[in-house]
Amino acid sequence: MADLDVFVCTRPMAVIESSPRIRDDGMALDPSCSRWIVDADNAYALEAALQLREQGAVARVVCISAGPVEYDLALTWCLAAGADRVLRVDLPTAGALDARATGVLLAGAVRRAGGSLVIMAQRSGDEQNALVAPAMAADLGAGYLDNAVDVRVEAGEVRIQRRIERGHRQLWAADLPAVVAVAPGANRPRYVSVAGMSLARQGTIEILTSTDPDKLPRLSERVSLVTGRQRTRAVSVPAASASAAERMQAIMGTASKGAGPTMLRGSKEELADHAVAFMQDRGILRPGPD
Amino acid sequence: MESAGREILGNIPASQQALFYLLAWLSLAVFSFGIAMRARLWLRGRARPLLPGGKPGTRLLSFITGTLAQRRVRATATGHAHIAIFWGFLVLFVGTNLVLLEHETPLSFLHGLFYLLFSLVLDLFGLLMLAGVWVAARRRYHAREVSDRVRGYGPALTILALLGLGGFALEGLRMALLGSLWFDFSPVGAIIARGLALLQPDQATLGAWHLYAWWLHALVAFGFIAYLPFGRLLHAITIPLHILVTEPKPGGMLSTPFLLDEIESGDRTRATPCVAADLHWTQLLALDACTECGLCDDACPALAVGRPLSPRRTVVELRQVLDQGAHALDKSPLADAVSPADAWSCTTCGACADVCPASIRPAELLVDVRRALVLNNRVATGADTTLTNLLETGNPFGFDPGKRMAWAADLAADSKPVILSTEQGAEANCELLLWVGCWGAFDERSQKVTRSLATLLARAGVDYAVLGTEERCTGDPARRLGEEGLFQQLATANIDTLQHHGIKKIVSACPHCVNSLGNEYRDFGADFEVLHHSQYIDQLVADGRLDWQPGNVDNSERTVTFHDPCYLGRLNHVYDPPRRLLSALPATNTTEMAATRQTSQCCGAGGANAWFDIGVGGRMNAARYEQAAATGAQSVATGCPFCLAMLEEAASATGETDGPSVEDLAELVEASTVRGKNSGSGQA
Amino acid sequence: MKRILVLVEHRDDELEQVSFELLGEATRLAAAENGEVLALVLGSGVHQFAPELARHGAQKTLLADDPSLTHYDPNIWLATIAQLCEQQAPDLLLLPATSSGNDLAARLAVAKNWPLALRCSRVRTTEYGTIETARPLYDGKLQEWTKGVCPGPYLVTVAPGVLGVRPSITEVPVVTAPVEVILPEDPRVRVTGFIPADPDHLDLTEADVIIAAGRGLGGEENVRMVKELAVLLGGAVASTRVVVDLGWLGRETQVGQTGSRVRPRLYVACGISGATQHTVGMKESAAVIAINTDPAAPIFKIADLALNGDVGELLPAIIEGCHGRSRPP
Repeated sequence: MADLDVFVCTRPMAVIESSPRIRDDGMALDPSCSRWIVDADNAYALEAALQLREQGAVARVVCISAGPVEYDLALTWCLAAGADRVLRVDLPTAGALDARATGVLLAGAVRRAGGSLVIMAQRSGDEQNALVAPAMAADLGAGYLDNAVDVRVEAGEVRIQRRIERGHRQLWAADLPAVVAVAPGANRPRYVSVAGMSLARQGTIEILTSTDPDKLPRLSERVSLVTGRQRTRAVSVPAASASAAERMQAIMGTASKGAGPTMLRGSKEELADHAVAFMQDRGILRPGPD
Repeated sequence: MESAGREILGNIPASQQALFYLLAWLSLAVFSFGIAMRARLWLRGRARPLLPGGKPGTRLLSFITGTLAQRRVRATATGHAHIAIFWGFLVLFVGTNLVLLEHETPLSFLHGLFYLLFSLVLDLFGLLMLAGVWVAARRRYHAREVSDRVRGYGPALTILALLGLGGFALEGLRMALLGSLWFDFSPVGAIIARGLALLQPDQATLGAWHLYAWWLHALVAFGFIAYLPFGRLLHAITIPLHILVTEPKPGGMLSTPFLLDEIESGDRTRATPCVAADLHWTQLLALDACTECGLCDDACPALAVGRPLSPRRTVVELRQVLDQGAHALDKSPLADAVSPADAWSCTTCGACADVCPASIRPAELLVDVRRALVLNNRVATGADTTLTNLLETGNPFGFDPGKRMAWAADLAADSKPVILSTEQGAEANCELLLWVGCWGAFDERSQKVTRSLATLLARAGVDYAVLGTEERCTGDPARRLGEEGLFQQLATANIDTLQHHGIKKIVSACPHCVNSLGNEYRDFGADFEVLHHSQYIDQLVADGRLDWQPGNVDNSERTVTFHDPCYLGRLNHVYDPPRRLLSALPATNTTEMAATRQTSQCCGAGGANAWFDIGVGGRMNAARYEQAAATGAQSVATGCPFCLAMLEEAASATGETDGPSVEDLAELVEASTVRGKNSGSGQA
Repeated sequence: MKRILVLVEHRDDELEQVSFELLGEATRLAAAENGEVLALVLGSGVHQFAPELARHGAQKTLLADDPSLTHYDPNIWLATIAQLCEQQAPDLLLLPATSSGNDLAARLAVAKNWPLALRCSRVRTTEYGTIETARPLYDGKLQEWTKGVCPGPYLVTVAPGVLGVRPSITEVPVVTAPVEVILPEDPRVRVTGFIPADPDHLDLTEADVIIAAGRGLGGEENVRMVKELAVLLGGAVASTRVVVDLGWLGRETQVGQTGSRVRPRLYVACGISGATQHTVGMKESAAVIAINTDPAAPIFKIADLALNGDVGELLPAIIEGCHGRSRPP
């Protein structure tokens, strides 16, 4: 095992209520929404890195993040989970940079720290563009390995199993330097205990200064932020007294407010028809011959 | 009679007496050194006040029953022989010291009738000891298959035999040498003396033999004393000592290894994880008290179904760390000494601690291993989801905490309780609080039990309240899993809520809740009176607030058997109230399973095993359900939502429909009672 | 917009529905300026798709047909499509938000400095002709509109099912054109192999569709119907703890408190009562069909479709109804 460090880019996510508040200028969340956590997607990435260390493929796990001081409490979680070091590139606010800019910023920090292996989440919980990883890779001259569910590092080469649709896997490889995006569900992130978190708060997070963030290249910029519409999931099922045709039509109609289904009874053919129509509505089945 | 007495050290020249005393001091020094070296290792463990808590009376009582009566030892293979050896040796030991006192101090009591009785008693107990040694030696040397552990007792038995036989020989020689009018009060000695007389030795020869025998006896005795701390017989010291320093707390109450507050305020940093830091010094002492008798293994229900758990092996593995010395204690992690699979297999049923003659608690050692694993982020697969659920929703299922009162939707209007989370004022002003618990709130089957209990309370006119959505899990699964920090978070939150409402008395249908609320919360400043619902309903019936229905509901007789939940029975000693209730059910016979009360076998859900699957071994609930079915009862009653769920699942898995149905006590009582004459009298 | 390019997704010799959704959207967006909608297909033996793509709105289908394009290869895709975009200069490149679409879009954006919006829900043009895209954040609780700040085609990926399929046109000319495939030498990322999924052992936590077997199936012999339906729908088989205890299925199929937690698009509970110990494992499913003879079974409380019938009779009928309409396994 070489003296190889793995850098895990971690992005704390703001926790928002079911009805979040937008700032008056309509461009960002209201600052009162300021509880930050390290969410599950980042946990998969860190877990992959920790497992590499346990296998002896890397020497140290270094978490790195770019953001304001509000991130620090959330980043403590990385220490509690077992990271050797946690670095934060200091920025005045969260979300000031787009993904491309963030990628370049972090790439610079990793380069200065002498890193050649970077792991991060395929996408973050708040659904930022999954652009940070390829942006970093481009800046570092690294190979970019996407949607990994299995990561191996050996003799300067990174090999991944890449998850694609229907449960198939592709095998990709790249020589170091490499940036790997870990797919959600790739592993089972270890549980971090409450006492462990408390103890980790006694550790330190190293602060790095950033190059002038305004000089970083951007690809896009936000126009506005609005509250979205929640998609409801339940499908209303009409009373058993309606005719089979009416029932099927109702099933294929719009979603209700989730009042719970009505019990359907009937012959096995009728019930089977309901099931098939339901599945078609969900896109599980193709439309049948009409 | 007054002339009866003994000349002490009569035949021994003065110079040899001096040597004797020198060797005596030497052997004592070696003995003390041995004990001290060992004690140094024990004391490396975590510190706590020496004799905390408990009542002085109970500690003394357990010392007496444990050390002197040796109640639990009798269950072992050579239990009676051991008692014979112990008492034999003890009396001889006391006797020898009396002789020492007589010789060294101005006191004089070994004369006259006292001396004759003294001599007789010593002879008889000497025989007792030799009888015990004989039985044990036969097992050691003549049994077909002998384990290494039993083989290891060879030297100890040999020494004891030498001491016993040598002592008698010495007595016989002395009596032959000195002559005595009171021969028959030392019967064994008398036989030997008379036998010697047949050889017609002269006084000089007798004197010489006596001297040799005396020195032999002395040297063996000194060797024995010096050797004691280093061999199998160390348990003679460590077991009584351990029983004396073991806190006689309720069996279900786990220790509090640290206070989360201290860690959060930065007052405490965690020492490098290692055996010494993670175990209390009394637990390290316990490791040396183990004689590997194996009663714990015999009682362990997890081992019985093939899980990779052996309480004995756990203690032995940890003792091996102790044997490696201080360096090992300070460096090796607890989770390396004991396999995690062993630790996660335990259901904390407490059967092992219940039978251990040395009062060792292997289950608590395993929880400490879990604590070490958790702090190293190595939680059992499946348990991590439960803990995350607890963190995020305050219940181990992960259900919406806002739905905690859903169980009450189907309650009759006159049975609905006061819900404190919706009340304006803080003070509860009620007779008692019904603690619903997470199973009782969220699980379909257990919700029926909660409704039955609520109906009973209303029927009896009890003025009760529930916390409603303010209730959180007591933290029992967190603590059993070793997540002590989360447990303390939940505990302090619940205590705050309960104290805020001025709650004094709590009733719950879940023994795990009762155990946490009533026992474990005391370490955090709580002082609630907590009753299991069987105890409280029993009181209601006794007070006349509930009456049994007249006559039968239907004319058929049915038989009911009771499955004692571990956390109600063995760990908290509540056996009779449920039985009183069941016996009083109309048209019902009761019967007991073979394994009942203290020996009731765990359903398999304890130790947070309800929340994850160890993946190895058979089903403990299936084994227990079979035992219930074997009684021929139509119904098996229990008083715990975990036992209820596990037994019902076992019933369903048998695929047969005529096995016993599973009910909770509350349901059975609710179906057979009416409002009592004294209902609503508000007596707490 | 003057020209919109749509990257087509296909698998196992069939076009994926998302391709039609994207073409429909492209048609809508191009309508205002009478713009051109082009479909781009990369693969092996893809000429057969041209007519169907034309029917769904592709005025011209660009075909890159080569054996090297059988499986997604980021190096080849990137080089080929980058050159094509340089030549065609579309205003907008619509890609499916699938594993290959998202990956390609991100690489393209970084390599060429083109604006990118992944997993969009809506696309619009402002009165100034700028393209703006809407994306859901926080699982849909928030919605963000962004615009590009660099010149170049706007790269937009859209997830399957978001846009919906528009009706196809029947009489439409089929126009195709070839695309030069570029095979970069010395690729930075090497594609070294492919592991197909084992239909008998699909990972429960990854499966889109799960058919779960409960006690109500009656016997071990009926479990094969559950397996048959699962294979038909390309899904995985699950079970309850009781079924595992009875030995009908292995422990790895167990869903529940002490088993797996799953979140499929569809969960079909066959003969399952719905005790808490099981439902905690599947309550996050997007849609639940429950089949049980007991109308009081708790499973019905969380089902989206509640069928009160005998699972032994219903399953064969459902299997028959699914024949020929399912995705290929």
